[in-house]
Amino acid sequence: MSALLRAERLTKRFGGLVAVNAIDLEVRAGEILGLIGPNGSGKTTLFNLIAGVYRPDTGSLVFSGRDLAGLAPNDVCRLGIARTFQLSRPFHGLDVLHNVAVAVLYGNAGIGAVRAAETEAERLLEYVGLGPSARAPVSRLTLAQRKRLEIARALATRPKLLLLDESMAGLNAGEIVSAIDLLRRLRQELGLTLIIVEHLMQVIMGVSDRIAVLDAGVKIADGRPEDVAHDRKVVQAYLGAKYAPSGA
Amino acid sequence: MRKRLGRPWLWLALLVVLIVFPFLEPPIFYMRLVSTILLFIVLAQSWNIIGGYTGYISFGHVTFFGIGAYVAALLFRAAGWPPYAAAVPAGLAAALFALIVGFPTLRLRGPYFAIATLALSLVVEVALANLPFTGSGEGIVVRGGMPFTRMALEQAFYVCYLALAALTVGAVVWMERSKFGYGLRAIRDDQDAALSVGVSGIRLKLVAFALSSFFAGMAGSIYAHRAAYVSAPDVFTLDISIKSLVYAVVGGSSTVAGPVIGSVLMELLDIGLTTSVLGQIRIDHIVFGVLLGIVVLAAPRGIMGLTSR
Repeated sequence: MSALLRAERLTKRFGGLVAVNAIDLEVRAGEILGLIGPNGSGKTTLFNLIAGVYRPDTGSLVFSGRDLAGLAPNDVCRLGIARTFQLSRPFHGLDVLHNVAVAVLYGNAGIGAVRAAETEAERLLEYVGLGPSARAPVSRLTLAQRKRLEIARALATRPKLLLLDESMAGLNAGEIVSAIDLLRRLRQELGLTLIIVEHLMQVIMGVSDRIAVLDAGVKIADGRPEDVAHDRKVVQAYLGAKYAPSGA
Repeated sequence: MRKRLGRPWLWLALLVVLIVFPFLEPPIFYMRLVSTILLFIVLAQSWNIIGGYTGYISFGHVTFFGIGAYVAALLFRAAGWPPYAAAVPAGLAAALFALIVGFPTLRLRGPYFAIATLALSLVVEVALANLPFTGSGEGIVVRGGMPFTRMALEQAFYVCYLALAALTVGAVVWMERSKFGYGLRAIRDDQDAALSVGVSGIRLKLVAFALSSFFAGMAGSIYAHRAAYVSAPDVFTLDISIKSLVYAVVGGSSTVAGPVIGSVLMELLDIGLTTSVLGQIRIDHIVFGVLLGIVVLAAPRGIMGLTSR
């Protein structure tokens, strides 16, 4: 399979801190890539680099043949990359339906008429299970519903690649099960490529085809979930040297 | 979401009454009063485009009003243009100026844009008060080119202001339900999230600022003829920036009806206050300040927020 997204020696510094340090990463079309690492390891910074919020200091970032360096977030969106935010960031002055309709209008759906965008937004809200809340103000939504709204809004831009930043954090067990189901459907039914950041290990191990592990801005492992889980460096990063299997 | 517009027939009936009113030849005082309210509806509603829907609080709306007034005055002096003809070039000049100054300032966030627009209005006032072609400190007389009898003159200005108010309100009604309007509100609510769904931030903000300034510039052009005299201290008075903002916010910004209701109530209040005994100590400033404070703290959605709760 060819790489949909390829990062080479990607680096981002904030003052003296190297938040993302010479990371090489490849994302293949149609795969679910899990991105894990302790707090502050650079996961969200990497997302922000891909989404165009930050400009990389060095290194290259190529998405389906296009260089992403220097593009603004709205240009990156137009190329087919959508993202959700770790803490949900809805448009509070718009109802649920129009939060999604805006994304339909300005993304890649090719819909410029408000009525048609509303119809499409309704369809997407049904898809993520928010149909009944379409006309509600955002403030009425529960945390789980807000996470779904983030996903619906991202989907509305018709992306090829979707970046999900902790879309399950804070959900209860039942909500997590249905969230996992939604992720699987995104790939199977919509053919999306996903990069997911998640702290819940059993979730990310279960849904990802491949996992990349970051620690202090450096990629320390990249491979199948079961291999990564037993990787000495990974265990060390999460639990400390004491728990790491010797040798390996 | 609630229907923001309420009942369309009510607006239509209001418009009909307003159209008929001047031709009943009412006392001049009342016609001038309604004219002035209509002027502030234009100003508050156009402020609403950038300050309400886009969330960029401007303290310098008068800049564009004043530029419009000067363009009308210059066109009159040079070629005898009447107000209705000067309105479009005056509006375009104001919009062009907004594009130029918006390019750097609309990148600012939060209070910095407010400060920049305030500073801008002061700078432009000083510039126009000292340039030779704008009559320096003497200003420009803009008399003539309009009808003859007192009544006909009042009617003509009334009709100009009414047409402009209807145009401005109509533009915002259209905007509310347009792709453009939804994009602006997305920027207002969360700029980063708006960019992430493809909204081109700076471009939309520039268009909003230009549109807002276009209407303010047109209002200025009619005002120039109304006042028959244009000088920098008159047409760049901070009062106009403050009133545009206060009327829109008290009525309810980000709604169509808010700035209309705010302009009617607040302008009546203003006239009552300034003509009262306490007018001499500028009681209107004190009351406006206190009212704005109360609204921002207790009812940020203004009068409209109270009615639709």
